[in-house]
Amino acid sequence: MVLNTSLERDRILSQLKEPMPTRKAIVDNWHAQIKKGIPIIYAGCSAGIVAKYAELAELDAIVVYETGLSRHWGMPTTMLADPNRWSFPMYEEIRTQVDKTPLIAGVECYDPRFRGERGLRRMVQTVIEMGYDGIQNFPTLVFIPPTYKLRDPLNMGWKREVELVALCNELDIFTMWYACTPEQAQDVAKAGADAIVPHAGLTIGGKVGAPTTEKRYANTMITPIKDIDEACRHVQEITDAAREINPKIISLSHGGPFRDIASVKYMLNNTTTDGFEAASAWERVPVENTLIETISRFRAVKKLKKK
Amino acid sequence: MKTKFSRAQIMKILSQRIKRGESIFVANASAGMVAKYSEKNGADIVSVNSWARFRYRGHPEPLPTLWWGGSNEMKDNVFDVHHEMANALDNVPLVAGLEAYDSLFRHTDELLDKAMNIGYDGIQNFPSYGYYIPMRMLRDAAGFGFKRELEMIKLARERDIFTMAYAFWADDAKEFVKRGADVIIAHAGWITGGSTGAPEPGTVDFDFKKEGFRGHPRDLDGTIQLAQEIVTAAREINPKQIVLITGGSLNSPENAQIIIDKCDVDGFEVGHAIDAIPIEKELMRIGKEYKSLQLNPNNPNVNKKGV
Repeated sequence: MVLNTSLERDRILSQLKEPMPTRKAIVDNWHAQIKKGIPIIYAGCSAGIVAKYAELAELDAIVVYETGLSRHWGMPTTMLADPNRWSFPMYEEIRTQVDKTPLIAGVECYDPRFRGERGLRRMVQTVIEMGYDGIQNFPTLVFIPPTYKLRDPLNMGWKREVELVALCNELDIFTMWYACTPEQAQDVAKAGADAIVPHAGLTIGGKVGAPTTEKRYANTMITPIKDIDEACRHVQEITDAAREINPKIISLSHGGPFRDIASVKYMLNNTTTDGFEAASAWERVPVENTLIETISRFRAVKKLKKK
Repeated sequence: MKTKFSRAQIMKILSQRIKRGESIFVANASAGMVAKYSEKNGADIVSVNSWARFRYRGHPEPLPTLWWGGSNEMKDNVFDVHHEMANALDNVPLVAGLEAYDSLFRHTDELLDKAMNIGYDGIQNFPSYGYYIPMRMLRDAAGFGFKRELEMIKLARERDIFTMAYAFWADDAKEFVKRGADVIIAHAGWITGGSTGAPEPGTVDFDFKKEGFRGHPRDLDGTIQLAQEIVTAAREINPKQIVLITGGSLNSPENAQIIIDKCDVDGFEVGHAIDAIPIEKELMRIGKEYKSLQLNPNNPNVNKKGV
């Protein structure tokens, strides 16, 4: 028997490659929907069950990151330490429920295990090889300029997030980037992001939603914007800034008071953004509501006729 | 710290429910979030096991004949998830489903020690080999079958550990009662409902009865019949025996009400019906509603003529 070394293995493996939508296919699909006035809705999913129904309800993308795990623990949304070590192993559970929806990896691009320019490339290689279809900056430092200003000189700040966009753009990988300020939105638009996610702070509402405070420090943008009109102005400002650089950039609002159908409808009516990211609004608040309703109805069951 | 409960304390909670003419409601939790809202909405006991996580990953729960051991060591096993569950709870008994026939736990006393040391308040025989007679015979002959479930309940009772035993057959219910099981849970087979439920009763053409197989799902009447059969048998041995029902058509509060009214069970255990079914329904509804919203016509990327 003649051994055909690696060629035979390569032939088989090449036929088993996971299918992947091109960046252009994702963007074209979204623009076609936007043209018809259909909002782009993408869901943050950290459990198979919520990813499964995001796909079946035909949402437009599924994003995997670590904070969602805390929601399924029944806890308030929590930024977990060493995030890539939480989120990377979630791939299998989510992918097995997702066949046609673009599956986006939330990555912490300052992860010290992926240090420097080579590290950044290795990180992209890791998530693309795993089978993700695009990349998002989560967890991110966009919310906390005092921290990223300090970390930038060590290449562990906002500039690195922008470098990752530029690298994905060079490699033609779909990107969807959080931004809390018009400047951040312009930074990533210039670097070639396909979509921006104007962020209005942690999501308010539900049983363990972020507390609202009257005072919002200018540079601590993780604090939710409480007032819906103010939040609409905030996402509009970021959207306008990004469109100045790239008129075709897709803008998907997120956070703050945008948490349910009514508030998202209001946001879409009062801004010119292209859609919405539902994270707490997808995998926490609706699940809480339905659990509470169902469980309390089971609790109410009792014998109608006494023995 | 979550309150710990002795066997006597749990029995008191249950007997008070019965005295007040209310149902005993055991919630089987697949995630911390489910456990949390079960307690907050009045569940008497939260039960967890190594397989419930399949529901939260969006899959059907497998039938126990698929695996012959290893549940106590698998990913997200009952010991691994204890912290997530206890972390979400304050003041409710937490019961562990233990695989008595696990070949990596030849010493059942060690299995019980492990569960109680980790902080569980009681135990169940889950998964159970009870429902399939030929497989029981095969595995009992190898020393790792259903008899171990009986032994585990007996040993737990000797150590004053609270026990809930699944019974598929009247004779098994009697054996468990003789060994001091505090609660018998009549099992009406694989639960139906939602896209991850069992096939509808009667749709699979197979003579389950002839095969000595009782894992098949039952319709509402069949569920009631099975419950009454187990109740009658258990109370022949102990007239005060607490008996609950699970599985089959016990998949909604409405059906629970019918079952409770039409037979003499004291309550029910539900898992799939409090998480998988309602979450599916709610997410499908809300996902479609999000996608049916309309973008602002002033959005520069929306085709104003309307396509």
